[in-house]
Amino acid sequence: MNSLQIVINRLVRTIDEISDPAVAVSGVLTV
Amino acid sequence: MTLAALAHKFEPGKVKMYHAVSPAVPTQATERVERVATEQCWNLTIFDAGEFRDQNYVSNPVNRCFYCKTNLYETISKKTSAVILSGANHDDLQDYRPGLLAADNFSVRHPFIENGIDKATIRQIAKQVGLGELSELPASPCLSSRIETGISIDAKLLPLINKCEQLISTLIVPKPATVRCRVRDIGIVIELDGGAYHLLSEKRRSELQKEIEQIFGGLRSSKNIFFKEYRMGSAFLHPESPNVARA
Repeated sequence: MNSLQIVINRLVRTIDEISDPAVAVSGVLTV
Repeated sequence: MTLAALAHKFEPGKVKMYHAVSPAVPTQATERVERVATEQCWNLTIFDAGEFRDQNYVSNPVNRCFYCKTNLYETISKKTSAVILSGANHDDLQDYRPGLLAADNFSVRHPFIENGIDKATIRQIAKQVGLGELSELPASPCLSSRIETGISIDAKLLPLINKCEQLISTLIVPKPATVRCRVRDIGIVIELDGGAYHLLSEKRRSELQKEIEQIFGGLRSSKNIFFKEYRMGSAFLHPESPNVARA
């Protein structure tokens, strides 16, 4: 498993632990 | 965009997306959200967070982003009891980001920050979650950031600023990496990345000034148009600046 995949897995775990998530989407990648 | 795409890819059906439209949000950003939402079947709500009805925001203080994000998160909170997630990242912690204070007031979570993820890593993740060429999008602050701190934000001016930047991007060859059209006390300042700025001849500047004058018509500063080399955040005064009254 490469380092990017490890990072993605951590992110997915963070989101998974939130029972009801809502994402504020800006329409840009970064500011 | 990246957080939404990732959340949807790995938790399909669980995550709701909220996108605020506003004069400060370029139309192409909203079109981008709508396109990806359709392609990836997001549960997307588009709404107006109403920050242009908030004088605290319109007066354009140094912490304008606090009022923008307060309106954003307050409006989302009225629509859902879900935990709000933002795409703020670890690099944002190196800068003055009053929007993060507003986020705290609404218990907003920042998964990228919580996992130490910076802008460069977000681009890699964006490719992995199917955003394709969007992963190469340059950093893009809202259009209100083009108005010098302390000058009230005129909503009618922002689409013209967007139009001006789009036009200049197409008129200069090769296409500049960065174009910022800033409204300052002294007039309109077009900032270009170093490469594009130094290649611009006097004749070409004069031609572009005429194009820009046409876009801004009778609005303020149309006769005072200048070109400068781009500096990140150069319309922005930090709170420790001696000339800035704290809002």
